[in-house]
Amino acid sequence: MSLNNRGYADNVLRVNLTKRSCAAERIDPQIAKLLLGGKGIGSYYLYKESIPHADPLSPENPFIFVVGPLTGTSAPTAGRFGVVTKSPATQTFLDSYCGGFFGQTMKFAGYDAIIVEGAADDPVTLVIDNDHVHFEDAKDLWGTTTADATKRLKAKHGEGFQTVVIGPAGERMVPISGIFNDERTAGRGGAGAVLGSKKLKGIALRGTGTVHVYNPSEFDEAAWVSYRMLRMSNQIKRMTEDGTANILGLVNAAGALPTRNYQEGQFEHSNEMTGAAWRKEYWTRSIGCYGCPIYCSKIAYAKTRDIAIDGPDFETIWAMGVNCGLTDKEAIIYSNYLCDLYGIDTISVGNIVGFVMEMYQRKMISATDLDGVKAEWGSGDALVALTEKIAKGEGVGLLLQNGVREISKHFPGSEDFAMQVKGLEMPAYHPNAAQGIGLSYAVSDRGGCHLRGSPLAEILGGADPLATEGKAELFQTSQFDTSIIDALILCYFVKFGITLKEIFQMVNPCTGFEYKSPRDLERVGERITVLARLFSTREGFSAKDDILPKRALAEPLPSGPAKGHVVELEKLRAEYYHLMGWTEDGIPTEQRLVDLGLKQII
Amino acid sequence: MIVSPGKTVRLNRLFNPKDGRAVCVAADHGWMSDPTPNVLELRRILGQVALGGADGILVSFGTALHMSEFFEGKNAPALLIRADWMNMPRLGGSNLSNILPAVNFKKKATSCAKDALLVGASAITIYYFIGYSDEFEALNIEQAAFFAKECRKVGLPLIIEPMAVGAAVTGVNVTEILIASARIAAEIGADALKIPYTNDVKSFKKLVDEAGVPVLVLGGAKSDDPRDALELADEALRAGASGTVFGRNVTKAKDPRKMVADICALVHEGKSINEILGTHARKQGRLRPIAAKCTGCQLCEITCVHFHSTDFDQSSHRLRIEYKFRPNEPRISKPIVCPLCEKCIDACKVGALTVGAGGYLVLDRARCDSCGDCVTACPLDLVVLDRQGIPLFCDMCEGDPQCVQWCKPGAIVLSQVKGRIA
Repeated sequence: MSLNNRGYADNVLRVNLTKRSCAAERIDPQIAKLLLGGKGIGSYYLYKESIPHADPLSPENPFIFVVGPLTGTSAPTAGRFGVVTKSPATQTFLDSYCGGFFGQTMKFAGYDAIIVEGAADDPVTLVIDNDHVHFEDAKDLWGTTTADATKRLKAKHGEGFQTVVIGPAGERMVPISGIFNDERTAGRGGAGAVLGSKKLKGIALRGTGTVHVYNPSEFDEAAWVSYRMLRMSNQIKRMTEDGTANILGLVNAAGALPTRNYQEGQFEHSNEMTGAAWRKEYWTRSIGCYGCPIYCSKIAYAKTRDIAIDGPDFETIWAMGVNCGLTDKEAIIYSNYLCDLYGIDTISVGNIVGFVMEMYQRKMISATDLDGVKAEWGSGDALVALTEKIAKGEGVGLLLQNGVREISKHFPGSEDFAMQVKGLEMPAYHPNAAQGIGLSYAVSDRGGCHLRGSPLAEILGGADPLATEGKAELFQTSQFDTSIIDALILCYFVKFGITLKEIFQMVNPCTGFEYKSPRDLERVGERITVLARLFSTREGFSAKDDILPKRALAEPLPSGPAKGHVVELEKLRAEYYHLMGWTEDGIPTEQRLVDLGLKQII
Repeated sequence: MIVSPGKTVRLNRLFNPKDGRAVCVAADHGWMSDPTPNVLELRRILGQVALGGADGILVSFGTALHMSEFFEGKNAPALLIRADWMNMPRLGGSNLSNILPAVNFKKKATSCAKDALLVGASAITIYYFIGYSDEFEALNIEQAAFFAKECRKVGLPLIIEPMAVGAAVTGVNVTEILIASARIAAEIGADALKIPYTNDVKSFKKLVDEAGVPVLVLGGAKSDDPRDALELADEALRAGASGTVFGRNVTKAKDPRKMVADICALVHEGKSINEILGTHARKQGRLRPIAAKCTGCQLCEITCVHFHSTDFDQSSHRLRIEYKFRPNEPRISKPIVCPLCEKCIDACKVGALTVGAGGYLVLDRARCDSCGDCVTACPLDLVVLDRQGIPLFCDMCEGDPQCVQWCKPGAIVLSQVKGRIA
């Protein structure tokens, strides 16, 4: 069976930075059918090829770029790529995805995956022109911002090239650094640091090849139905009009909008922070990633600074705004701008600043400790000043850039409100106000993250957010769904318009794999979820690590619809392990691995 | 299964006796969601809907009282009463700026069959929610059975609207749930169903077959392109549906009267969508870019390539998105499309390029000598030679440009101009 006429390039590029060598290899079709692509293929190579307990910032940690079988086709949002590696922020499995225009170019260049091994002695960039691959000295690029590095690489190689780069923060191997395709980023979990450790400043890539699907006419019909559903979805329409921040009011109404470092679940100024409010005052236009009919990205223009950026999105507006108790939009835009330039994750930065502000409130840290910054709630100046220090790694920024967990180690007692799981800062949904989401933060692949199956439907009307019954199952289903989206790789937001059924309708004619039903595909999703879990359990992770900070477990919310609630984690977690067929310690059993067909391939 | 003379008479008022089909419009959103323009302007819109030739209109009890004029007269649309209330649009499904949010799903019976008869209803419609929780489903069944009994007593048709709602409803189970709920609703005593489309003809046919009572497909949220709703109706009819109950796709349409008339043409007259929308008449148009609407997503390039090949690539498109980069500002994009300036035609010494009868460029392959003069003549750099030396140029996808169809923000449109006909 050839994969070449099934959406795949049927080609994996292996690049060794230590030896400065590269080689291409094919994908075992059986593996493709079991794991599809993207997260599935990435977790497979990572599991097979990494040395257990390797330092994520050592040459032993492979760094894998992935796309999926739908990438480059007319399936909606099929231009994304993912990166898979061991996270320097959490030491767990890490997958992170990015929109923009790099993904489909990688496929058209002829690659389903690019595995980067080893580390260079001096800064390099990788130049991939279809099947021609070479290394270039990047000493002159080292130290440049993401925008500058991107501009220089494109100027050198031409506009036909797409790029990914890291910023100065990635070079410093900061655990909150990401990698960037123009303004889009694979932001969470420290992927930028891994590339920094390898001295790989970036990749310039061009692809002029083709992608073939198995049954074009059936595929076209299925793709068209998916677009039609996206056009006929209310939620997608709101995302198009008001960006991802369209849900801010809804999350606030559910009492689940973490305010002032998760001390409350509702923000008194939430009306000023909704997508509609941003649209009226700041947004100038929308831009879309490759093949995207949603275009949630909004360009915001900050008059006082004379800059326009792609963003801030919902998570950034929450992290840098609500979580710091502020409504200063110019400060949020400028902080977001700094994060993009220096290559760091806005969610983590907003969390760090919110965390510092709470320590300041509790007099655990002073302005002197913060190089003179008065970290008061609501201060846009403090947000900008601290973001700048973190981005540049200056002064107190050298401590703050390591994330909430590391900072809390220096301030006894602050661990209780260090809102992170396994070292990754939490996102914009208060766990205490939504039981299923609370569970998902505790057990998700890469720590405190909402994009690995958190059942957001809880907050958006799909279930009673405060009930625990059925939530383990809800999370499980959503986790498998998300694994499929990440294996293909589509944008998470298609979930607001199409379901696994419509995805199934596209996958079969694309791959010709003849999955019998969406349930078959869900099984692939479980397999991938478990494979990612296996990587982390091999690293020593288990139930003892699937925990939440004290604020989520023992500090009831003081007000709002979720007043008095904490996450009933032990109950939910036990139920989840049971449903997954894992031990009480959260380890997948041998029998389960055999049932899933994983035992046979790892 | 029709079980009483009263029901027969009223169903015949709703369903056109000639073809057994019905085009209904749902206008019962106002008291369950926020006051959107289609709700506030309901009187004007209903007038349009009636003129369009709707067979039935679904409204709340209050609307039936206040706007009874639309249901008077021999050829007036049949009145359908929404007999229950729910808060789903307030559960995160809707805009919160004008509405009080809700946390838990609730549903109440609000009218009885006798009230509906008093205002001259031809049927009542109730929800049957499945998938949220077991308790909620039990309540829904209980209410449906109660209404079925009431309706039987007074000879009033009951239309049940099964909806798979809840976080536990996923792509894995949604089709099975809908098919099962259609049959359950019929077994409770529904005389007809109002139900969402399953997004493929095969499974919807199964649903229609298993229901055993007439099935009316609903439209859901409004698309900016009226073709979407018509396509959905067309697929449902092919699966055996007996008609439509479209709400927002009609009431929020630019021209509700035309939208209803278009649906009627499809449902009752059996016209094709292309006939209805006049796609063939578009052939004489020219592509026009509207740069301000372009998001730069390249979907036009993707679908341009794919129309001319079964494969995908990002090299052989016959239009392109051009990007501009300024410091401290994300990319700005605009579509570069063929305006049919005919410079390529003028440059072709062998006369291989012409504007054909369809109003788009045509190549006579036998004449083409692959000299490339058309490539150099194109002021927009849109013509290239492929590996065989054949020029690739915009042929408007033979009259149905894919870029126009797929561009959601509407950055490429067809404008009508008098083309030079060769």
